[in-house]
Amino acid sequence: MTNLLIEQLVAQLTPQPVLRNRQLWWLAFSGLVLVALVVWLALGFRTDESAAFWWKPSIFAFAALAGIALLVDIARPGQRIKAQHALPLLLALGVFCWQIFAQIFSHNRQSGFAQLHSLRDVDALYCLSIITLGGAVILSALWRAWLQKTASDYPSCLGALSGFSAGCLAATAYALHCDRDAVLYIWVYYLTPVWLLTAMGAWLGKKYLDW
Amino acid sequence: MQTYHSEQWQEWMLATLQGDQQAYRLLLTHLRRWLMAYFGNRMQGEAVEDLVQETLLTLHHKRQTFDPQLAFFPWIAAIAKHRWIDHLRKTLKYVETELDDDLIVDEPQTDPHAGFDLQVFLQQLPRAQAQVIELMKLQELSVQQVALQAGHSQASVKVMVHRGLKKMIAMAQEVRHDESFD
Repeated sequence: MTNLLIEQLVAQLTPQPVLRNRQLWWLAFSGLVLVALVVWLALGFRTDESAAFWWKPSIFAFAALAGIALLVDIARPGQRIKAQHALPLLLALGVFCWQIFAQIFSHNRQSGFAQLHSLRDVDALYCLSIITLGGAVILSALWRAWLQKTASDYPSCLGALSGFSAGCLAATAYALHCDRDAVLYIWVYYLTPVWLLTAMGAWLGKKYLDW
Repeated sequence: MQTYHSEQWQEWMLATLQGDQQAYRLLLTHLRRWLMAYFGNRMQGEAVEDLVQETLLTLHHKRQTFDPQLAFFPWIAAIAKHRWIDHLRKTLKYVETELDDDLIVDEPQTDPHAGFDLQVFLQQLPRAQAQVIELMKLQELSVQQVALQAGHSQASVKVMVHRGLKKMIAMAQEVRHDESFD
């Protein structure tokens, strides 16, 4: 039986390009540019010359960088996560903590009340919907072009990382427009869609990336 | 006898990715021998041949995940291990369902799954090794009695039990480790 199987497999053999990590990085970058372009055309980038134009997208850009690097680590059989690839995630956390300190404890602070007040913003719906939709578009592109060709020992983890990275890329693009800079606002309205996409990715990974 | 030839396999795999059927046939034929030994050390019966076939099929469908910059042997070993753990997990689930259906005692005094899982692990060992472990650890016979019954020397019974238990512990740890990531 095995001999027969071997002959069948040999007969079916066709040249096959190997899975390239570079392709995933290009896809992720293209997804980021595409969502940023849509945000720019539909809503425009912020024009208030605030420092937040740099630090807010950088939080999510660093997180996405870590997410994709970790994803590449475990995409093939027998591969393990490399701890140093989580470093950009620490950078993202660092920037966020610095903002917590800057906004709540520094001289020009936003009081706890102002932080809470920021949650009552109706524009938050844009945040939620654009990051969720943009992230879903990026996730589906990554999925079709790259993820479904992988063979990870940890399919749920691979799916979760892909959802997390896609969400962070969409959040990076949207942060170029959004001028709501309160840390509580970012925590609630930016991270909720990111966690949603992460959970969705984990579920999809468990269901469809198992091999 | 060495059953794997890393460098040769690496060359054949690289040629396979280019569509070289001759290299692919050689690779699969040599891998079959190594996989028979690999799974034969872990279980017995028809499951060995099934797992060899499943591993070859996986190699075929997932060959694009081989990175030419990296060594071939760890890659194929990871695929074989994945198939083995998958097999263990399916077998364990199947046995647990059967146990629930046939359960007669209302309130068992010990965990019913524990003994059953042990039987499943025993089935994965070579028959002689499983037999001595069963006699010594489950039927609680002495080393001398087991040696007489199984037809081995006392020293080899001790070695077989030691190695068998080590394998079973490794199996249990791998299943637990794998499930914790899913």
